[in-house]
Amino acid sequence: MASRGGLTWLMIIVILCNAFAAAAGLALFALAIWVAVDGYKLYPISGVSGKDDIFAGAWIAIFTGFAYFCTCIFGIYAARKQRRSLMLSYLIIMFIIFIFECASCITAATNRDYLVGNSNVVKKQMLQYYAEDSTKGREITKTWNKVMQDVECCGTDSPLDWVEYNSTFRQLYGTTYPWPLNCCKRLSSFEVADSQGCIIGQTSTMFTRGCFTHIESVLSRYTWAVSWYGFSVQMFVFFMLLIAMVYFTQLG
Amino acid sequence: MLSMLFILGGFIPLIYADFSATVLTMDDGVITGRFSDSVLLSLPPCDQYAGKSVDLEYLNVNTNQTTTLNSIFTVANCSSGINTVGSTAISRNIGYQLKNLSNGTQYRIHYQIGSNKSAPTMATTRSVPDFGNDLSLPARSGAMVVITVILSLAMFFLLICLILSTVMSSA
Repeated sequence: MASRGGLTWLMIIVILCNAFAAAAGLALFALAIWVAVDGYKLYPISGVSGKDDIFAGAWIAIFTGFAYFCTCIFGIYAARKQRRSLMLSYLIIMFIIFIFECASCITAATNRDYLVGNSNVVKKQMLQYYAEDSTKGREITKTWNKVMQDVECCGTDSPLDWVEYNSTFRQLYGTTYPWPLNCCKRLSSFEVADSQGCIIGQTSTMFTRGCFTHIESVLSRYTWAVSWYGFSVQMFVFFMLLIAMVYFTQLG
Repeated sequence: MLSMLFILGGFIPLIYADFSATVLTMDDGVITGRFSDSVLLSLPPCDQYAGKSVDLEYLNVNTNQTTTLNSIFTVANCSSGINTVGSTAISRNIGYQLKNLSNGTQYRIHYQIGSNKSAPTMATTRSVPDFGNDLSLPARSGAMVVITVILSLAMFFLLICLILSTVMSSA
């Protein structure tokens, strides 16, 4: 049985750690909302492939972040009251939230590897669905048009993707247009600057780099937000729970 | 014998002129010179052949069929560089686009300007396969392995400690 002084110090440490964890949980909540909102509008690329668990991980993290915040405030109350029943219920609830957050981190990191480990999945999706007249096709076409214009890029690895491989776009438009006109540079009035030069392939009239770097960096950014920040919160909560368990065993 | 060689040597410039129709690459300011049904060819040197009319002859290596195109264009002066008007590669002075080819086929191409014949060049059009029939799983990133292993161990350890602390405090 620890002395009164020792127990008070332990109580203060538990309270401070819970306050910090509440703030970290709220930050996780906010970050997961940012990922779920998808400001870069790249969700269709993962949604159409069926591997959208980066966003599923973000939704779980919204729940767990807010739950950490609420439970840590309860933990401050339970530690102050020095009642065993309250501390035990706090520990059990925190453990359940811990398991959910682990699932979120692992899922997000794993699905990022499926999608953007290399450019194959994104390239196959672009060749198959761009310009296709289906729900998936329209979503992918809209997403790619936005990316090509905003990021000033063409194709997955380069514009040669459109020329080297068969695609729905090629089947529909033949070889008159080797690549979509969204690959062409535009004036500020949004008209294509030089459509004939773009069709011939003059490098001064079109975008020559691939879009995969941008897509990969955005999806990685989302993943690192959910999985690595979630992981750091988990590590802090892990050590905090160990200290809380020691405090729990010392309560009379 | 020696005099025969000298006479024959005198004829060599008439057999092959010292230029060839090369396929354009990124260095020439285009994305690619090889498409599935056409190739972009470089133009004859303007300093020697400005104003001359150019014929083109190409051989399909598979079918052994030769096609000749007469007076396809006139070589522009050296003063006119690459421009941005016109709807074809030749009107923009970039190169000549040889069309109506078959995909995945090798061709032997040369220009004919008067009696001058360019060195022949081999060009293959792109065959256009479907992509992704043999997609391999990309490598696992280190992040996934680290996060999974450490969090799994942490979960397990926490569960053990929770059970132990409940048992110890009730004992």
